[in-house]
This record gives sequence, C-alpha cells and structure tokens, in this order.
Amino acid sequence: MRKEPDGPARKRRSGFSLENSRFLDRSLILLLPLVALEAAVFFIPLIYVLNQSFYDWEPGAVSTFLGWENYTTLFGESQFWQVVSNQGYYLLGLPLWVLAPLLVAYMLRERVPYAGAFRTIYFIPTVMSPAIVGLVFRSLLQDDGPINASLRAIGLGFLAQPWLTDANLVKPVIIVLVLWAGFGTGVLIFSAALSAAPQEQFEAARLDGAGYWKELWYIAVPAIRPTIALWTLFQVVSIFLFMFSWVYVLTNGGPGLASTTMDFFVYQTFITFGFFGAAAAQSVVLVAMIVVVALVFVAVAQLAGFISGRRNAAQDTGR
Amino acid sequence: MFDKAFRHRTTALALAAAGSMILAACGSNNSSGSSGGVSALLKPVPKAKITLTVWSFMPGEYTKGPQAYSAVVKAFEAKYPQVKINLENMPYGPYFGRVRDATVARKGPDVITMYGGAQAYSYRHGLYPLQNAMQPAVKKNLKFVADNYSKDGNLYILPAGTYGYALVVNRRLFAQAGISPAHALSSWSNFLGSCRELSAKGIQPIASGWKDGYLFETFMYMMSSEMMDTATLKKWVAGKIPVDAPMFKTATGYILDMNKAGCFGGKAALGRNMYDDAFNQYYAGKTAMMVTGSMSTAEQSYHSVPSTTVMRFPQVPGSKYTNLIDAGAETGWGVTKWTKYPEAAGAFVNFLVSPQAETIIWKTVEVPPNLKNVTVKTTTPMQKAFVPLMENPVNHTGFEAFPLTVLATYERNAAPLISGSMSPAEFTSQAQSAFQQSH
Repeated sequence: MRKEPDGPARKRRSGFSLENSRFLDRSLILLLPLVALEAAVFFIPLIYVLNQSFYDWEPGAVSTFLGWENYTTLFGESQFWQVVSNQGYYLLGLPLWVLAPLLVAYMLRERVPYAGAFRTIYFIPTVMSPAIVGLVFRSLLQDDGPINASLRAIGLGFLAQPWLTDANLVKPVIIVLVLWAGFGTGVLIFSAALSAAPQEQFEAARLDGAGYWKELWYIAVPAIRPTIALWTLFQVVSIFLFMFSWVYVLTNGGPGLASTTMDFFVYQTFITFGFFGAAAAQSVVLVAMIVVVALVFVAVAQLAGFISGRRNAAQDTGR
Repeated sequence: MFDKAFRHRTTALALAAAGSMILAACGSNNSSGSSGGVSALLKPVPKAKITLTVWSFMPGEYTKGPQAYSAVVKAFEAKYPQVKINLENMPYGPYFGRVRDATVARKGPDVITMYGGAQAYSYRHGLYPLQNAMQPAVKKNLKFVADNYSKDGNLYILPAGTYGYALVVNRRLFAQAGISPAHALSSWSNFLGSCRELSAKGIQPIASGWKDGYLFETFMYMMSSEMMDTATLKKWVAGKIPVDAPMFKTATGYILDMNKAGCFGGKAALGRNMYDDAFNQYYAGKTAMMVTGSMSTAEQSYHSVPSTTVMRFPQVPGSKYTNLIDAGAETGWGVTKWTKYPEAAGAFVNFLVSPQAETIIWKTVEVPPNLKNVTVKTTTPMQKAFVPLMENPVNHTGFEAFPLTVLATYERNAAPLISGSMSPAEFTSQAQSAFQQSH
C-alpha cells in the first residue's frame, strides 16, 4: 500500500494552493470590467427584451401583460415557418462557404506566383460595404440588367433568368453572393492555418507517394481541423445574424417572403410595423435558434473529431 | 487582500447593480408618456429663444425642395424671431425607421413629416392628436382633413399640399400607333383595348415595375377610391372594412386584367422598381403612359418627353363616379409628444399648412395647396392639364387608411401575383391576415 505524501507536496498534487488562490482572485478582479461590459451590452438588453416579449410593448404608453401570447401567435403564423425554412435553406450553403475558400487556400500553398496578390484580390469583396455590393448586384441581376443582356447577346438567352424575382432562384443567388463576399476572409484564415501546420507531414506524405487530393484529405484537413470547425461555426452564426444587409438591399425579403431571414423579419416587425412586443418575442426565438444550432454543430463537430471535447482533452494529456 | 469574503461581496454588488438596472428598465412598462395637453399647441409661443428640430424627407423629393423649404422656414422665423428651425432633410428610405427609433427612445425631433391615417396611427404614442390644435383659419380652410383621421378618431397630422394620381401620356407614341389618347382613356374597355393595340405595335403601354410593389399599391388606391362613395370611405377610414371585401378583390382583378391586356410590358417589369426603373422608362421615351401623383414628375416627364400631357385614369367598371381621381394630401406634419416646445411646434405645423407656406411651396416646387381659400394660377402646360384634375371637388383617397402591414404584404406579393406564381385568392388571404394583425 502506497503511503500518501503529506504537507506541501500533497497540496501541489491536488492542484490547489494558497499561491493559486491569490492568482484566481486577481484575475477575477481584472475580468470584472469585461464581465460588466458584456453584461451591459449583451445580457441585460437580452433579459430586458425577454421581459418585454411578454407584453404588448408600447413605448410611451401602458404596456399590457400578455403572457405567452406573443409566442403562441408567432408559432401559429405561417410566415414565421416560411422564414425558418428559409434559414434552413441558407444552411445548405455551408459546404460551399467552407470548401471553396479551403480549396483555394490549399492551392495557394503550391508555390503559386504572387500568391499574396491573389489573397489580396480575394479579400477585396470582404472590405466592401454589403449595402454597396448589394446595390451593384441588384442592378446587375435585373431581368434586363447586364448579366442577362450579356447572356442574350452571346446566344445564351435561355440562361437569362429573373434572378432576384423568382422564388426558386433568389436564395441560391444570395448564397453565391455571400460566398463572393466572405470568400477572401476564409482564404486568409485557412492560409494562415495551413502555414502553421507541421510542414514535415506534407513532405513525408509526398515522399510516400501521396497525390494532391490525398494530401489535402489525409494531411491538410486533419492538421487544421479546429480552424475548419471555427470557420464553419462562424458561417452558421452568420446565417442567422449577418444576412440582413443582403436581404434588405437585394430583395427586401421578396419575392413574397422567399428570401426573408429571421433578422429581417424582426426588423420589419419592430421598425416598419411597430409591433414591439411581437418583435421582442421574435428576437428571443432567434437567439434560442442560434444557441440550439450552435450546440448541435459543436456536438457534431466533437463527434467527428473536429474539435476536442473534455474527454478527448483528458486523453491527450494522459490524465 | 483578495480573500473569499471580498470576492463574494464583489459578486453580490455586481448582481445587485445588474438587478436594479433591469428593474429600472422593466419599470418603464407602465410609463404613460410625456406631459403637455393638446391645448398647449395653440398657446402663444413663449419669448425665450429656442431651436425646433424638424425631420422631413420632403425637401429631398424635389429638385428645388431644399430651396422651397428653406424659404418656408425663413418666413416662419420672420414671424417668430425667437424660434430657430433646424430642418433635417433625410432620404425617404430610412426615414420612417429613424422616426420609429425616436418614438421608442422618446427623444429626437419636435416636428416630423408623417402620412396620416393608418401610418400616423402606427406612431400614435409619439404624436400629439391635432384635431383640436388647428388655428381657426386653418380649421376653416384645410382640405383632406377627414381622409387623414386615424381609426382611433384622432388626427395625428395636419395634411399639407395636394397630390392626385393620373397618367402622363406620350402623345407621340400614341400617334405612332394610330390611337387617340382621348379615345383610349374614355372608358375601361377602350383602355384595355388600347393596351393590346400598343403592345401589338411593339410599344409598352405603361411604365412598370413590380419588384417594390408600389405600382400595385398605386393602382389599388386609384381603383378602390373610384369604388368608394363617401359613406364607404368613412367606414374604411374608421377601419371597419376588411381588405378581403369585394371592392378590393375586384380592384385586384382589374389590375390582373390590365396585365392580361399587356399594359405592363410582360415579365421584364417583374424585376424593376417603380420609382427608379419605371420612371426612367418613361423619361427615355420607351412607354406610352406612366402613373404619377406629382406635378414635379409630370414636369420632368414633359421636359424629357415634350409630347407629354396629363390625363385622367379611366373609371373602372365598379366606379361610383364619372371623373374622380384618387387625390389627397401630399404629406402631413405632426408634433412629437416629447417636444419641450409644444407651443412653438404647434405654431410651426399650423404655419406649414397656411396660405403663406403653401404658396411658397407651389411657386417653388409646384405642389398645389390643399386650402379652400387659395387658388393657384397655372402657367405651364403640365399645370394647365394636371391642376384641374387634382382640384375636382369629388376627389378623395382611401390611401391613408391602408394599414402598414397590408401595404407591406402588397409590396412583397405584387411580383408573385403578377407573375402568376401566387393566386389572387392567396394574395387576398395574406393581405387580410395582415389586416387582422394590425387590428
């Protein structure tokens, strides 16, 4: 039977000591301003909106308590479910938004001349205002706009479509435009991750006769799995939070509700119609949707080994 | 120094601060608005120097708009030297969103541009009722007041100026097609027939854009106004007629009949907006007609297409009139409830609808006054053609009573309806759901 050590050595093994306690207290104090800021900017407004969602919220007048009515009305509206299905449709763009920049970043590793210039060119759309880009594309994609006119001029008139006014086409078009706008950021992020990956693994794979695509799949992708997971999670959240400017400028949610997103729906309910309580309920539902989808994504990513869970971390350290 | 007790005290303090912030914010649920009754708007303006902030998109609506409103402001300041007007011109697009933000925040401008009826009702908690805040001369002479009441029985804006929906007509294109415009617009059946004839000759009859939905709304206003007698209009303004009533379904049917007759130029119009793209079509001489409500657009049309004249839209089969056009106040002015200067704000909105101000606006940007005691002298060809149409005493409009939710539904569903991907029954059903939402 092994004798348990006692005294200071025992405390060191358990991980708690007077030294550690002092460090935790200081860091807590240093974190307080950030926590206060986060609370003021995010949590308190969220709790306020949550509270208002139970009222017929009327700024400047008496707000009547409604209980769950705003929510039951929302879930009973066919428009809400159409918007939810639109969000689901936009999620289909995820593979494109992840794979396209990944592939291009991987290609730019291959001693491409002026790779930096390419990365700069790809990044230009990212720094352009979505409002301006949206206006330009709205003009380009009109029925009698330059794109359709060019197609007709070269005898490909059968390809000319009502890109933004056909309910079946408008969402795929927006998915492609979002790819165009965010492509450069993805290329930069993946390029940085690939350059930080151990290069000897790539060399070893080549020496072993691995081809281009095997190198990508068996070496590159596993080496930058956390980056891929992070970028994918960012895209997932963007679908719920950063589509507004595209929808507002390009389509105003139309035709019908075909391109409306939840954030645009909330905006319209609050700003255009002045149904403040209903908009508060929609906001709460939007936050809940983001949390649920993000949690599902993290669970799937952990299962697939793209990010480490607590059990995996323990295995990694041997504890 | 940083012991456990200190940590606990710090955490407790933070939680207490957060809790009191939440309670303070939640406590505003039962606030009842700022003080200052309606009668304050008619009291004499105090002598102390003040600045009134006015938000409007109107100066930007006309080429000489800034000039016109600057002259109005100067005239008011000459009358009330202690009041300085800070007129902030904003683009139309984000304007109502900014007013909404100001209404929620309970701070911002003292006076705003606002349409009456349903739109003003949507902002009612931020606006003073003005039915008892009109100066006697204004009350006696102001037109279009009844049309601008909201369904709660309050008048939240004073209506200013006059618009009237009519057609600018390119006589050269009609002549090219061998059609007389007077004959084409003499009856509904002749009108549809002329659309077919113009289309057959490769001329797009009406400048069109469905993407933003405004063209649909415009025709809905025009047609439903023709089908409403005075009693029906009163019920509609009071919110007692739903949008799935036969009158509105019939109007939708008439618009689809126009589409079938080729009036709008086919699928290309689906991707166009009304005010940018459709107007440019007419100015470029590519269409035989265009709907407009404003003199300035008529003048621009005449400037671009010298063979332009203005003619009345034909009466639809269900019309209760022989020569009515949808016409009413061009805009309105409201006083915000959070203003610190209700007397000055009341004086300013009354001034904006006074003969002096409306005459300035007429002379500079050709918006006819909406005053019974002011007649204007018409000098240009467009004024001679358009003003008599606008000043027909039987004219009215139900436009202000369309709830915002219904208009938004019309706007987003106009292109699907015209393209055939949405049935008229579904279109009406969605509009009616939106109507119920607003009630």
